[in-house]
Amino acid sequence: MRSMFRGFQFVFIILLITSFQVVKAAETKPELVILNWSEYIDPEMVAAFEKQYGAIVRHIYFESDDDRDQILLQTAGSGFDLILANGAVISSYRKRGWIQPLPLKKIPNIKLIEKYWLNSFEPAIGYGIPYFWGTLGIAYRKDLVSEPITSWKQFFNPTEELHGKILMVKSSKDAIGMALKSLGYSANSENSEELRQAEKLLLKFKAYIDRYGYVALDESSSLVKGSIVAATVYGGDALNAAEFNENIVYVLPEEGGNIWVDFFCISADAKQPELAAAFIDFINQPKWAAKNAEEMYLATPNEGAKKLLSSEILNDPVIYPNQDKLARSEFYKDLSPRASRKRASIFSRIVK
Amino acid sequence: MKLRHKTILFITPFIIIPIVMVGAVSFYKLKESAEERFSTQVVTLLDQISQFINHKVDIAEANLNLLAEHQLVTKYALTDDESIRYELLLPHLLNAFKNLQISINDYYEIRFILPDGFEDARWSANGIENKSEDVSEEDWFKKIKSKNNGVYKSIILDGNTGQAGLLIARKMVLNDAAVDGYGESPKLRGYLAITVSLDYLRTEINKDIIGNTGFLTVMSSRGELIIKPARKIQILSYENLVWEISALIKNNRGKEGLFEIKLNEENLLIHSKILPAEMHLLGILPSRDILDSSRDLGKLVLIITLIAILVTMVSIFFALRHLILRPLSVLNTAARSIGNGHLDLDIEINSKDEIGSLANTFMEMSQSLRQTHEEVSYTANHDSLTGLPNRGMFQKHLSNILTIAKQKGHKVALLFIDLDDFKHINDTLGHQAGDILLQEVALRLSGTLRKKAAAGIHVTGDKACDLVARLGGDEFIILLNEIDGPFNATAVADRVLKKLEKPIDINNHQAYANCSIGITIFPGDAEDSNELIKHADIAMYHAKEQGKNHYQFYSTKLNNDMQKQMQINSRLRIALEQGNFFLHYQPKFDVNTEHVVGLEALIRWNDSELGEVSPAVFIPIAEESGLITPITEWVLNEVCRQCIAWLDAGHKIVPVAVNISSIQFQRRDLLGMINSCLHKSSLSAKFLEVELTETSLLTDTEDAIKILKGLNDLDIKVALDDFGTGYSSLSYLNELPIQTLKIDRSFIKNIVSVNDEYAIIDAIIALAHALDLQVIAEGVETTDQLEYLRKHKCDHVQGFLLSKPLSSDEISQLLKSKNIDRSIS
Repeated sequence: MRSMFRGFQFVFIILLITSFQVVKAAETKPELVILNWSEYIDPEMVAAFEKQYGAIVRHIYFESDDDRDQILLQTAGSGFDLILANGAVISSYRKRGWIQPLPLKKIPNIKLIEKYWLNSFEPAIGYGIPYFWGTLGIAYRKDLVSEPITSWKQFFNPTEELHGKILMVKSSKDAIGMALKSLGYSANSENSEELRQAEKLLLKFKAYIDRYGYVALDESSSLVKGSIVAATVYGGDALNAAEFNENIVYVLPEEGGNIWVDFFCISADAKQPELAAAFIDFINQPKWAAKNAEEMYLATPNEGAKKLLSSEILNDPVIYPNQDKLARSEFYKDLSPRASRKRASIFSRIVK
Repeated sequence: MKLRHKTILFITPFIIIPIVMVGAVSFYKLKESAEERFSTQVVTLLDQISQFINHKVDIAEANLNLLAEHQLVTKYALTDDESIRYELLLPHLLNAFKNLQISINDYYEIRFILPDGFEDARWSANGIENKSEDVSEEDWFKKIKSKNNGVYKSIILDGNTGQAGLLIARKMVLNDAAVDGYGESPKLRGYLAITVSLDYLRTEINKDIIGNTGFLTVMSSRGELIIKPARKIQILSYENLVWEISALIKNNRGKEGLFEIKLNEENLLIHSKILPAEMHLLGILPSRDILDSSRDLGKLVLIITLIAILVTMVSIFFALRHLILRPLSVLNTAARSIGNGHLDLDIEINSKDEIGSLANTFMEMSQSLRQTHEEVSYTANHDSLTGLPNRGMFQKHLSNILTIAKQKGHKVALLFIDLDDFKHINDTLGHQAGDILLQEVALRLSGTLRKKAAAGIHVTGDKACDLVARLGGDEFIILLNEIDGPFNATAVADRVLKKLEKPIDINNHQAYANCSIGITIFPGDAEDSNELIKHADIAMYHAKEQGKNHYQFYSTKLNNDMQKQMQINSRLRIALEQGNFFLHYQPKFDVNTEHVVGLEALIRWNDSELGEVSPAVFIPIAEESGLITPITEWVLNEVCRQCIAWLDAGHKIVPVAVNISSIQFQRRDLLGMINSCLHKSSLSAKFLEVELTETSLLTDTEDAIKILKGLNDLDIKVALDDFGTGYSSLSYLNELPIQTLKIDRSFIKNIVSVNDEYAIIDAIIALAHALDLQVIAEGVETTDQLEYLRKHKCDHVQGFLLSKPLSSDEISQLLKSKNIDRSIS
């Protein structure tokens, strides 16, 4: 289960920790450095790995996709063994030379991964092993809205009661993509006119949102408290928050959402590439993968693990949504450079 | 010309010239400093702005360099792969640009431009949309392309906003350590450009004002107007101005300093200051502005100068007036008043300066003048020998007295005195003896006056004073004011003659200074003072002709009358002393019974020299000389004595009426006199009656009523005599405490027939009865008269018809024989 604490991480801190680790590793156990979301992996499983391999696993957390990109840009991709990346960025990471091809022979459990997910992002093939997948939809407080939110169109054209009580994921792909979807276009559109409309909508929408960011998942969450009434969230996060307030509802909108897939990749600059491969293989053992999925309350692409999952998870529409809506949902595709450039500049303008 | 005007004329140039000079000098100094201030103001302003702009540009340059060395930026520049650049790096680059722009608001556009002029990454404040992403054709880009490394600055007109901005750009020439081999020269990767807003400059330029019409503007070195002055340029055609200045700047590209151009007959001072990017910051000031302010300054200086002159003049004038002119004017007034003869001066100047001492001198002078004046006046008005007033003074005095006398109806007498045989004394005894004689005469004359003589004293006031004066030589004159009649004059004349009869001792030699006196009486003898003196002189000569040591009236009748009167008067005295008076009594009768009801005592005088003299003649003389009092007293005593004698003889007597003259009545001692007579004789007051004439009551009615009441209180009846001849007001008749009215004989004389009507008599009788008074008629001589009176109810009658006045013996017979009515035993 991953959580998105809004942290504050400076490059120099990372560098410091990294260099410290290098010194330490030389003396004692090998260390595996993983760049990951926080609380996105079952600690018991990690402990079991450490025990089995006599290694130490150290986590470095990022708080958003952009944050991760920035960390990698600052360190030029070095200092990590494993990098958790979503499918949409793997192409760039490859081009940037931050990740290396997977030593498939050393990861026999790869055969347990569903082909659909393994091949969901073309650039990821041979470079990343799917870890979890899920959707991006809308979480809202059913007790605080007069009408249930069912679509992106509704979300992006909010009623006055939502003024200043909306939270939007701080991601250009999500913001622009979902705006496009609300307008009936593809989330991967490169059409200038469609993008122009999306920008216009988002500029108008800017006035209604509290901020661009991520919903906290604990009791102190603004969604739990009610100062935020609606937010774009990943399905799993919504379920997490709902534990603190039963009025929180997650919906995959009628237009469909984004289907994301997280991959584990081995850093091109990995100090322990073998250990990294061993880690990937370890977590894909059905037993651990299933436990991890149960803990994280997310959908696993591991077929072996899926068989071991409880019916509670398998029947939860948040985790495994309705097929129609899922069909209308999209993966983020690689865009043309000029389109990316355009989106970057749009996003720079719409963010508060 | 007055002193005041002279002083002002004299002082004025001394005040005006220095003040005007000070004004002029300060005007030129102020003007100079104003011009300098203008210049300094402009230069300072330009310096301030340019310093600030330079500072801003320096910072921008530093920021540009920092940004260029930013890892993200270099990474971006070195990344050839577009997808990585845009997908992975661009959002972060834009974020970096954005953060810089947010922290320094002036950088409204930050760009990364590829070597071919493509705007690869652009952050623009306020999300202004980019119109073109290709800058390869823009001037600045062409220039920077041809330039070597380093920072390039240029003014650009923003294609998107149309506003001018300051572009600061540099090349990004980098080696990609990962790709490029060692020793390979770095390649141009792109350009980094920050556009700095000129808003600050715009604000400054619109804010700062030079003088009244001056303004600031910014031009490029090519003469393009970069920042338009927002102020309305009031004086010039805008296009012409811009064109002119533009030409000036083009010709003086890159030059700072002061330029002057002429446009439309107007001089313009232009301060030019070079700003970064070859901008010219211009301070433009029409020289007219400086002139205007100089003119304002001139006006101010002029006003201050005028006020200073005015204030100084006024102060000096007032000081002058207070310290000199006013005291001078006081002295002037004082001098004038001395000139007019007012010598009692009190000059109110207390200052201790020269003017104060002048004032004191003035006062001393006026006092000594007054003394001299008094001495002169005394000498002028008095005879130096005798000290008596001289002729001049006497004439003045007499004129005054006569004027008053005319108004008030007083009588005035002049006694003109001339010494007999004075020439003889002078000739025989010498002039000195003559002088001594004259002095003695003067002394004696002064002693003859009725009231305190005012010899030698200036006679003023309303108190009538007699005056002795020496007319010259041996002539003296006496003025008697407010006399009762000629007899006052004769009395004084008698005294003069008597006093001068005594010999005068001169150097043990007995001299006699007999004199002759001429008398004039005003009014009558003359109309004015000169004539009065002249006539007195004439009268004096008459006196000398009649044998010296004598006096003579100017009027002959008066002379005779006075002689007669003198004679009667002197005989009256003798008569009083020798008892030559006797009384007759005329009975009064009741008109019906014809009984005697009373007697009227009538005085008779038989003089040995004059024979029998009528009371009508001697009573007025006695009244004038005052002998009336002893005569009245004698009459009262005689009546009282006779009544007692009659009573002692056993007769029944009737009341006896005594006539009291009005002069006697007015002397007010009547009551005391009657009281004392009654007391002496022990006669009862009821036997005494008083008859008064109407005239007695006229002068002071209130007092008269008091006396009448006193008589009534004594039980003495009063009859009003001669009623109808006076002017008694009937209105107060009822207030008079009288008992009887006596109809005047003139009315009775008119009665010729008993059957006629005599209105006045009827009226008097009716009036008397109405007032509850008895009425008596006197002078009844015919039976008709008696009958008429009886018919008309007159109470009593008196007259020859019934009885003439009788002697006391005859009355005794009558009292014995005749019935006596109302007799009191």
